[in-house]
Amino acid sequence: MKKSTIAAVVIVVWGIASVMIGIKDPMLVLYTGFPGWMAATVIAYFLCAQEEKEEKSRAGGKGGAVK
Amino acid sequence: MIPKVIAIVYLIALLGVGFMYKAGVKTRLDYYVAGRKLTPLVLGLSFATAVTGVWSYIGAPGSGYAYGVPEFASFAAWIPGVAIVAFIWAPRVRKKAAELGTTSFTGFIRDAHGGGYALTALISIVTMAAYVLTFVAALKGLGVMFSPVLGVSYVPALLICGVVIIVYSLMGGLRAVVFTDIVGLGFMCIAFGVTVWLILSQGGIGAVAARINDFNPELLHPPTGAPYGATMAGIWISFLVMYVFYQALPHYWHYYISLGETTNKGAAIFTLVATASVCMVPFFIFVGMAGHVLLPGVLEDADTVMPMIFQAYTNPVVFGLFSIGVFTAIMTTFDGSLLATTACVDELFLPLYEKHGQTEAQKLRWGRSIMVVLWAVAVIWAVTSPPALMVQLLVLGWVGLSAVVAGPTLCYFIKAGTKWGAFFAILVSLIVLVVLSVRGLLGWIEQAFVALAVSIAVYYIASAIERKVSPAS
Repeated sequence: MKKSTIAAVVIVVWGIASVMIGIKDPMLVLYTGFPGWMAATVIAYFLCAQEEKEEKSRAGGKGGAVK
Repeated sequence: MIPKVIAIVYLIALLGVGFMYKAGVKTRLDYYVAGRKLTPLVLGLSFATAVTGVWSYIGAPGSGYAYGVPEFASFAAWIPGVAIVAFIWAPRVRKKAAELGTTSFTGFIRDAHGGGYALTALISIVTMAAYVLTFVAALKGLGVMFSPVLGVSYVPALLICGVVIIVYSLMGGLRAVVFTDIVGLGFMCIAFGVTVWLILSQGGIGAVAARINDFNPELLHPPTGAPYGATMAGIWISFLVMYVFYQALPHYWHYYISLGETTNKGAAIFTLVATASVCMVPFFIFVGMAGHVLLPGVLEDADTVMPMIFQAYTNPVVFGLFSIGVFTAIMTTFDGSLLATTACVDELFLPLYEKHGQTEAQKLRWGRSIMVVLWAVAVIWAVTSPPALMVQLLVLGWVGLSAVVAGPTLCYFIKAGTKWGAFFAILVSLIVLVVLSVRGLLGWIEQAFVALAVSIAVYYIASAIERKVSPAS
């Protein structure tokens, strides 16, 4: 599975979880909203950045082989 | 005195921003979409401020004060919508807009559907009608909020703020709008810091919640989802669906078509910065609810709860910064939507420009003239009407607008419809929304939800009929 797909899954899973938390008790979003969303989006950022880095190094490696 | 000095320095700095970007504006592409070169980071910061804007400071705490916890649903549902936009829709909209060479929301829908003048006129007029109310509400907000800060009455305060906004928007176009939005985010962070300090100084979330519960348990445990819907679970789910489509609002769409080349990493940065700012909003809502126990008496206008709390609990410097924050919040809502609406209305006159062989510089001048006319209409309306904030109606109007255009915007990327499919989707869903609103049927978010479903259904049904009648469509 691509890392950007895992990133999207992390955001979707937390999105659904946060709405379910809200339905159960809206006040809980004050405790879980900020840290939960920050953690999910930071993880997504690092996964996407890592994927981009790997793609670049793979493209660089292929370029070297052609030469 | 200190808030007044801070306000005057800030207004002068805004004019400086306009001058700074003036030289870079040579064409309509530069003016309306900043040459389509905005980076995901810049766009995310600006989008976040435009998205939360006046709602975060004024509307959301006001709703918390008036209705309690239901407003939390709007915050929580917003972020998944932002993430979907960043990863899926914004890159696609950007790519298609670059292919079509469009510089407006109207132009995008028209060109993507191969539509003609009827579609251009409908989208431009609906957008203009919805946003003129936004401009009036924003100008009224500026007049009411800045009258005490500047030490002048309502009308001069409105005119001073309004003139500053139109001058820097006319000079710098989208670049000036985006830059001032990002500055606004800085002030929002200050307001967030003060809000957290205020909650902690009152004993923390638990202690404040206990006091709110003692005052009125229904604020924390409402029996229904009023004013948005019948049940709490219903509004959480409705908001979640609605906010995915809410991202198709014309002035948000305008940001997507202004985006430069982007990648998944860019989308993640966009989501991260936009999410960070939206996450501040629940704390503002909570403080709004706490207004009942932090302020004496009952407020006539719930939208004034945040300014009243900041005035009562902070020193003049912090209150001055907060006032500037309110100004930037209203301003970011106003300038971005004014520019996006101008771009839409400008499309109405494109055939005339072509007919009379207008040069690029002349077209740009006409565009700026349209902006001045829209601004002037809003100023006259705001000056002659009694001052009131109307923030919640403004946001709800946008929810309705995003529902009406849902078919030909985001659904276009799932399966493209035809020009008459797009035309009738907007027209029929608009009629349904107006009828539901006038007759007072269903809750506000539920009305928009119905209009959304109608827009999508009519988009595909009318498109299928058009293809059957005219297979070349």
